[in-house]
Amino acid sequence: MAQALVSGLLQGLVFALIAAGLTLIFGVMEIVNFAHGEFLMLSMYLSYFFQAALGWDPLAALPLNAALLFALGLLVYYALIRRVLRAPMLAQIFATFGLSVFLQSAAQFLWKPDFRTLGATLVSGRRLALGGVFVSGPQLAAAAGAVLTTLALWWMLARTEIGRALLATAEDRGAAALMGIDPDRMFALAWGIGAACVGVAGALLSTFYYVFPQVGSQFALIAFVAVALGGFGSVVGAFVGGIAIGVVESLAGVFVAPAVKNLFVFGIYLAVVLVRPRGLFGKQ
Amino acid sequence: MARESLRVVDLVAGYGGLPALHGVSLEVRQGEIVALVGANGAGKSTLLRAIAGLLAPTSGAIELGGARLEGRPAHLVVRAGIALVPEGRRLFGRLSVEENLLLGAYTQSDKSMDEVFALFPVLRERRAQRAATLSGGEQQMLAIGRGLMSQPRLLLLDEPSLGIAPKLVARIYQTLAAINQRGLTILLVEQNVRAALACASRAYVLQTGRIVQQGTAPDLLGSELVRKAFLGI
Repeated sequence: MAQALVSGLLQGLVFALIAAGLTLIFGVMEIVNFAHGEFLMLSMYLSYFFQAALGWDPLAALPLNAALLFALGLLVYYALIRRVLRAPMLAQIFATFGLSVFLQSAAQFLWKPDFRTLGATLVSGRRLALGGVFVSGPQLAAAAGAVLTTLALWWMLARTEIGRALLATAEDRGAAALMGIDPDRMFALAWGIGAACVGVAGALLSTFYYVFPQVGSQFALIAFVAVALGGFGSVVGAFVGGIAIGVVESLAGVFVAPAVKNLFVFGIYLAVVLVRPRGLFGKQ
Repeated sequence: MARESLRVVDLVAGYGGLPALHGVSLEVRQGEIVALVGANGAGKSTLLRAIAGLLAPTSGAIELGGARLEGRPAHLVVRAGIALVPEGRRLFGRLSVEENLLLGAYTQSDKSMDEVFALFPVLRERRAQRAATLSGGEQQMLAIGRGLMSQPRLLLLDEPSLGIAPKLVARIYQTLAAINQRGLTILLVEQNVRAALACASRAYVLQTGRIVQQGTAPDLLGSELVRKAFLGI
């Protein structure tokens, strides 16, 4: 039981980071990034190729993942999202969903559907025993990295001027404009930071997860449920939601059966929609 | 032309193809307090939104100190020196009083809140409180304070008395007069004609998108149109 809890918590912290990036984008501009999972997948492939071609450890190369995914987020905003800002919501959904399909297909075409794993890393092969519970090195490092990044994100939003500007844009973009805040810049920044978060998560996950073109989908679905549970637009909510789902998933896998883990996760989603649609920390 | 003079010339603006303003012209000279009064739906908010850059006019000109501003987006208009205290305040409710004020100073390097706290001491008391938890009057003071933080040359106020208790309305107008004494030009829009005309030196009357009367405040207070339409006399 304790093992399942700890395992779920560690995994949940990574879910939380992925969800945080997603909720930031939604919070600032009310657009759901259906390609969020593919951003994760691309970051994982980056880690794989950094190691395979250059011998770089994924944790050492992590800042590069973050920087490149930040740039990707900006690119996606300026090249695609900006054009559908005033379009009907369905067009916006199709835009990011189409991007998702495109990225998955491109990855499959370029790199084949093979499952790849990374070779030895700084943290692989290590196990820690904490009072009767076993934790693998990569999982612990991933959780630690996720917590640090989420904390950094929270700190930026709560304590810096640019973070305040993002929160203001999220709440009322017209009033934010009256303050001198350029909404276009804030949208681009949200995409960049949201993608960078998922970039960090990808680098962390690559140390112990298979890398293949569809790997993003399962994490994206969990991220959506975490965001819905925590409340769209709330980073704290995404954090809590991510951990909650990690724990539930782990407990369900251990005490019921691994095959029905997802059933419980989506059971949570249904419960949220029926009982408290705005989530735990969501706006009205 | 004096640096802070606002000139609006033949402004046509509206929403979704339907004009709410049919060629409005007015002027606010440096150091004045000018009021724009009219009933609900007359187009007063539309005019302020167009000046502030929240709305792009269909035709006409908006000039501040000779520089053309029409069509400029809101985040650039505030950098030109015009601050709008919008209808309904539009505070960032989830953020604190202090954070709202800091956001008001987004375009400024000087983030000092001392002047605003001197004008509205209650805001200093409540600086860490979430803006949404303030009373209506306090929220209006915060909205005005937030507007002042951008060191504007011209302050626009959209219905500052709406939903506020009369005693507080008087206090707010007193503060506006004091700020004006220090040299800030003010254009305010009101349904509360008495309060507006008591404070302003000149006023315009807007009816269904057109200026139907203008003059000094005492003149307008005495005019037939104003008395019948707004003062119920």
